Amino acid sequence: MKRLFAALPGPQPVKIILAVVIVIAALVALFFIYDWIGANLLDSGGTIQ
Amino acid sequence: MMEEHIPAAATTPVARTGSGLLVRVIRGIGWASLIAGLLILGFVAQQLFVTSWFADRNQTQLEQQAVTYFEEAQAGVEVVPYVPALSSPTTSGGDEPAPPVTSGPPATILVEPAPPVHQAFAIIRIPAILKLEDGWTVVEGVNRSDLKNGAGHMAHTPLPGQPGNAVISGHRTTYGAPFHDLDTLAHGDVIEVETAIGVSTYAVRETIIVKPHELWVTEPRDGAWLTLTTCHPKFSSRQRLIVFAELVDGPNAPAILGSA
Repeated sequence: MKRLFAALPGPQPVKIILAVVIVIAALVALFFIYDWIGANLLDSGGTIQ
Repeated sequence: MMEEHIPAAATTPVARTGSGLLVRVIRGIGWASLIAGLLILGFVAQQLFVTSWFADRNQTQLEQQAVTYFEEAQAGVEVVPYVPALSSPTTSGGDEPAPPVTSGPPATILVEPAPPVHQAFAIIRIPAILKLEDGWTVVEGVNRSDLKNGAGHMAHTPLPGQPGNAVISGHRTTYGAPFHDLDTLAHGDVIEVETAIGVSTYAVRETIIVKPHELWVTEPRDGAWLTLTTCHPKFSSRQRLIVFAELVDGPNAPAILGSA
């Protein structure tokens, strides 16, 4: 983690902002992936089609 | 004698390299297991708690929307002759079917305008199910976003309280899981659906398990029916649990039951 953080470009404040943006983007992506898996495997809503 | 003085430095790097690789592999497996565990934990938490939190929050807003819609739609409610056919007047489209030939005055039913897609237009209550005791809002449409908010009414089927077969789908384990305990319903259990025409009461007649593509369960029926559909078994969308309920009371019941 420290090495990944250190590899981010720019000075320390820029690195922190970049890290926060990357974490938020990853969480949003994860949310959509979870949602897709849930809707297709766990509970599709019970529709007949 | 020379062979006895082999420097230690000549052998240890090989040993260190071997054990170092093993340590790295074990450490890698450990991290991968930890990350996989966190991802699975996150998935379970998102599906069970986050989705339900969103659904519960949306339900509060949708219930208000439904009540407002009742008032608006009541102005558009019409009294029409009841036609004991397999299709509802609200979904019949172009040609109006001819009213039945009867000796007395024709029976009439209340018909409300078809709600716009995504609109919260009804509230379903099932006293036998704790979750649905106070009601769950039904929206028009059964696409993924509709069902995230509430139970969804299949748009091409009649509205609840109307002749035919009104079909409502809902989540079993996520997004508030309104139909989680649908399998506990027994013959005769009451289902109430409030719409712009009033409260229509149904009694459970049959519960079955079908495949997700068995469209026959949504087909029109004689009289007035409510069909609830949800995933089966719990935590799987492999099959569908279907509950058929028949109209027994409500604004249109006298006309429909008298002729059915």
